[in-house]
Amino acid sequence: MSPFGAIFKRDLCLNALRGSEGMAGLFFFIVVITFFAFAMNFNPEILQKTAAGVIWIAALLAALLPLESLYHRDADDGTFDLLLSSGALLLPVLLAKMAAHWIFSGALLLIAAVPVAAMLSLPAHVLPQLLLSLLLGTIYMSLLSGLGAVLTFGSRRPALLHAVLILPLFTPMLILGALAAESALAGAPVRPYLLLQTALLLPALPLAPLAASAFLKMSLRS
Amino acid sequence: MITTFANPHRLMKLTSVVRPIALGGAAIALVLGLYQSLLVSPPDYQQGETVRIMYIHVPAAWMAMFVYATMAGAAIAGLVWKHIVAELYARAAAPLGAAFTLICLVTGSLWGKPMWGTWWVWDARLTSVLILFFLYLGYIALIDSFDDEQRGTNAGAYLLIAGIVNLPIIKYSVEWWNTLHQPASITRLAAPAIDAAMLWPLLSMALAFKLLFIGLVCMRIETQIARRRQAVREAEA
Repeated sequence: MSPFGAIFKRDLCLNALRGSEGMAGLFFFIVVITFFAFAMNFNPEILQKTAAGVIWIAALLAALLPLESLYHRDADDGTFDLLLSSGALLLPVLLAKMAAHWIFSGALLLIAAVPVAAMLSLPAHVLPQLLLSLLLGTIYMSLLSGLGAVLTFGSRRPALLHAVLILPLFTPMLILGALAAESALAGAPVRPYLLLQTALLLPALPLAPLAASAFLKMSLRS
Repeated sequence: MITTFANPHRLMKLTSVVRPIALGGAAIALVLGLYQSLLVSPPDYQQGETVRIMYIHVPAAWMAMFVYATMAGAAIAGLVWKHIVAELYARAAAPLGAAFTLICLVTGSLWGKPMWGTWWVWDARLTSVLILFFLYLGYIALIDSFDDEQRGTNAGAYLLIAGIVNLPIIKYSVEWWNTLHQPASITRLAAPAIDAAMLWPLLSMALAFKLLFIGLVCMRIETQIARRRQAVREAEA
């Protein structure tokens, strides 16, 4: 089995076995959105206007939750040292971790976003465009947060650092996602924003795992 | 040349010469610039006296971006050549850059109240500078949270490079989402859209900020070297 496939399968199994810990992001996502509806006094007009934004924010914050169990546990118990000394290429390993992170933060949340969008009375015709935009955004988030998680290996309080490091880097994608959602609600074309989102995503696809593996090699050898 | 200043002793010799010159120059330029900008330069025909905030706000904004760009450049140099000066510089400049960014945000807010009628607008440029401030804070938080200082420096270097993505977005945000904030009026290809009576105090203030930054960076680098020497001495004792 290729290193990518092996690590991907291992991380999926491990995270699924951890049950509630692996699913924490999903629960968080649904709970935050539900509580937002409470906070807005269930006003359907406000909910409809703000639905896309709330879904974006909840998805971003939820993506930070599985980082510790996916990355830091392996750094603490020496899995990464073992991988490095085995001579395996780190790039496929990190890509596999980012892909596994996307399954737990991106894919699950995209599925959950369908009923949640209905709860927030988002018009049905907006939903496919929002999901497409979220798809691009969550992949980008998995890449960035993988890099952010690797940078905090060995630090004193990684979980606290993640939000401070990763979220500012996500700004351009969030702006484009919000613009896409706004145009979709107004019935305007969404394609330009989706293309710009793709343009942000494509360079990050090789660069984030490359940077993370370069940093890991440097810090584990020293 | 590149290896000369990798020796901390020679580096300290250099900074001990540069520091007083830069700080002295900063003091002169600051006095001249403040006198010019607060007393001599004319009030704006539309904005009146409040335009004088510009002489602090604009140089601070320039420094906020300049410092980040040089830190990112130093991060790349530090990773490629493992050069100690690049690593010392990035660590030394971060709090100064954050301070300039904060000055830019606060003066911008003070300027926004009389001009736009509000302390804060979610204008693209303001938002981007706020994000730049967060990037600085993230970098400082990251490098400070390792017991092994070198590890923090390395992690911070990667973060700085990842953050470069944001600098062009800040720069072009005004053109992309043209909102309240006025476009750049100095660095246009044509002649500057600002009168010489306002341009000179502005440039003088910019020079003062830059020299102050250079002097303070020298001080912070010297402090870092002294602290490391102290740590080595304690380890030996």
